[in-house]
Amino acid sequence: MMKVAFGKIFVLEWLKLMLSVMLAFALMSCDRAPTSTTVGGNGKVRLVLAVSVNPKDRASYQAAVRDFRAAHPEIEVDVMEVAGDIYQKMLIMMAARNAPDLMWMGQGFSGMVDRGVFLDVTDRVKRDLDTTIYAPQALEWYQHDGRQYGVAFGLDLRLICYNKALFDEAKVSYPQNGWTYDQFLQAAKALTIDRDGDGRIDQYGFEGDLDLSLFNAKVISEEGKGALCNSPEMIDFLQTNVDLSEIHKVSPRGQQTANEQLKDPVTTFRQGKTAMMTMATWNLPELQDRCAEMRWDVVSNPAVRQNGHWGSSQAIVISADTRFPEQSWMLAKVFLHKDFQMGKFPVILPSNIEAQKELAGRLRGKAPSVESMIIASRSLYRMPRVPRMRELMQFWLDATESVWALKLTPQQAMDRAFGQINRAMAMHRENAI
Amino acid sequence: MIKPRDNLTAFAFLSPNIIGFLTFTLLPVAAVLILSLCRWDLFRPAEFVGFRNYRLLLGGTMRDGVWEWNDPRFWRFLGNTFFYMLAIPFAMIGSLLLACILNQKLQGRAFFRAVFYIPSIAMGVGILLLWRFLYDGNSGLINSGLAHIGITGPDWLRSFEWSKPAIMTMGLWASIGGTNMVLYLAGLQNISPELYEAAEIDGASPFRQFLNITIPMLAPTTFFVLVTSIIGGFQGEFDSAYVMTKGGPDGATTPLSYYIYRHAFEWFNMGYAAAIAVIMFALIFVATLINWKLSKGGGANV
Repeated sequence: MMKVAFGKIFVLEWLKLMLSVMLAFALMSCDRAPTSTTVGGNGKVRLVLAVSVNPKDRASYQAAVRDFRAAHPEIEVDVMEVAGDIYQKMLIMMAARNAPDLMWMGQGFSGMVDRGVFLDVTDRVKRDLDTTIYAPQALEWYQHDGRQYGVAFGLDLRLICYNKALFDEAKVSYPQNGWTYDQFLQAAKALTIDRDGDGRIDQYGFEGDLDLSLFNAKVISEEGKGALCNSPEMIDFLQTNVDLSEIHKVSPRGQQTANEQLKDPVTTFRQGKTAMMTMATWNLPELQDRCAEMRWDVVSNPAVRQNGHWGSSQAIVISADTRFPEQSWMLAKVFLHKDFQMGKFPVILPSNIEAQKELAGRLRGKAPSVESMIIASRSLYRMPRVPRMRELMQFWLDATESVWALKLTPQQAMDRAFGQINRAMAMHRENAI
Repeated sequence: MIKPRDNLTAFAFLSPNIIGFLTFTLLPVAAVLILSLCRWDLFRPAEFVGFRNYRLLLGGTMRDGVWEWNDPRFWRFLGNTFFYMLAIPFAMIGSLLLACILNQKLQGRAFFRAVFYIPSIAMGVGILLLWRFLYDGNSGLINSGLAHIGITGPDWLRSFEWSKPAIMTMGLWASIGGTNMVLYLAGLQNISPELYEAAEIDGASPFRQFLNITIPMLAPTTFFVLVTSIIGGFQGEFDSAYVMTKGGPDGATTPLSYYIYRHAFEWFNMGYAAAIAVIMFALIFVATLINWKLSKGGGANV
C-alpha cells in the first residue's frame, strides 16, 4: 500500500513539474520585449533592416548599407532578406513585438498603419528633407491622418511592354506615348496571327488588362466608406477587357488580371506568343535577363476614357517599437538618396525627380524607356488606403475571375462584389470579427 | 512489484513526448477553443464575444423570402472540401490494387515498391510547382501533348470546370502509391496463405478469392485507411490551393483549410479563423464516430 501511495504522490509531483515546464514555455512566448534591436557587446547600436528582396536588386541594398556602415562605424546594420509575403511576416513580427527597426513597405502600408506600428516621421521629414525634389506620390502615399510615416524611394508602375521584332514583322509602327485606344486596338489586331492556318491563334496582339484607372473605375471609395465597384465605369472596364478576347479576339481568354503570383508573364513574352503585354516594373530586370537577345521596350498605356496607370511605391519605414529612432531615421534617409534609387532602376522608377532626369539622359534610346515610365508616372492611380483593404479586395478579385472566365456578366459579378464588400465593411465598422 | 524508481524511469522516458504533446497539441487546441469565442487581430487585446463568431459563420437571415447565409463563402468552401473527398474511394481502390500487384512475386518487386512510394516522400512545394507547369494552359506539357493530337486543352488551373478535377488527379497520383499502399501491403502479408489454398482446393477463382478472402481480411486496414483519409481530406488540399491556384478561380479550388489560413494569417481575423477550425474539428470528430460505428458491424464479420 505504501508503495502505491508513494507512486501516486510521485505522479502528482511529476504532473506539477510538467505544468511548470509548460508554464515556462508559455511565459517565454509571452516575452513582448523587442528582441531585434540590441546593443552589441562592443557598444555599437545594431539595427535590423527587413527588405523584400530578389537576387536582382540585392546588390543595391548591400551597397547602400555598406556605405552607411562606413560613414557611421558606431552603427551595425543587419539586413534581413524576406522571401514571399513580407507584409504577412512583418505583421506577425510586429504583433509579437519583435519587429525589425526598419522595414520595406509597399501598398500594404494602408493595412498596417492604422495599427500604430510605424514611427511618425513628420517632424524629421520637415527637419531633414527638401520634399520638393520628390515625386508628390512619394510623400502622399505614406501619410495617414495627416501624419507622415515614410517617404517612397521608388514608384512601381504597370505599363505596356512590346516586342519590337513582332511589330517589324507585322509592319506595324511601334507604339508611342500618348497613343489612343483605337491605335492600340488596331495594332493588337494586326499582331494577332494564326501562323500555321489551323484555326488556332499562335500569337496574340495583347495579353493582360487595360487598367482600371483608364476607365476611372474604383473598387472602394477613397475614404473607405463603401464599395464603388458596380459603377458604370467598372462595368466599362470589365466589358472592354472581355471584348478584347471575345469580340476582337486579340487577347487570350481568362488571362486578364490573373493572380500575379501564379503567372509568369516573361515566359509568354519570351516565347513570342504575345506582342504586347502589361508588365510591372518589378518584372523588368527579369525581362532584361531572359530576353536579352530580343528587341523590346515599354510604352505608357493607351488613353481609353482617360490616361491612367496602376501605381504603387516602395519605401523604408521605421517600426514604432525601435529603440533607436534617430539612428533608424539616419539609415532610412540613405534610401532616399538618388544613387540608391538609380541603382534600383528598373525595379522602380526613382521618386527623386533629379534621379529620374539623370537616368533618362543616361539611358536614352535604351530599353526599358525611362521617358515612358516618367510619362506613365504622371497619371498614377493607387488603391485607396483603406483598413483591411486586402480582405475587401479579395471579393472584387474573385468576382473579376468569374468575369474573365465568362461565368458571370460584369454587372452580375460586380453587384455580388458590391454587396459582399459593403457587408464586410459594415461588419468591420461594428468590430464584428 | 513496481518500484518508485521504475515509475521515475518510465516518466523520465515519457516526459519528452508528454511535454511536447501538452505544449504543442493540447495547449494550442485549448487556445483555439477559447480564441473562437474572442475577437482578436493580433494587435489589440483579445475581446470576448461569446458565440458571435459561430453565429456569423453558421447563421443567416431571410431576406425577401430568400435565405442568405452570413458567410456564404464558408459553405461554398466546405462544399469544395467535400468535393475533394470524392477522390478518397478512388485513391483507396487504387492503393489496394497496386498493393495486390506489388504483393505478387514479380521480378524487381522491391524496385517498383520504392518507385511507387516516391511521390509520397517527394510531395512538397517543388512537386506542386512542377504540376503547375504541367497544367499551364499556354505552355504546359499536358496541353502541348493534347495539341499534337488536335485537342485544345483547357487552362486547367484557371478553369471553373477543370481546376478541381486537376487538383484531385494530382492528389491521386501522390496518394495511390503512398502510405495507404504500404498499409495494404502489410495487411496482405498478414493474411494466412492457408485461406487461399483452401479456396483454391474448393475451386474458387482468383477474383472470388479476392472478393471473399482479401477484401474481408483487409477490413481493419480499410477502416484505418478510410478514417485517416477522411481526416486528411478535411484538412487537405491546402498546399495545392496555396501554391497552384491561390484558391481561384473565384474560390473554386479553395478548401476550408485555406480559408482558415486566409482569415488567420492574411486578414488577421484570428477568432473567426479559430471558429472555422473548431467547426472543422467537429466535422472530423463526427465523421470518425460514424466510421467507428459502421466499422464495428463490418469488423464482427471478419
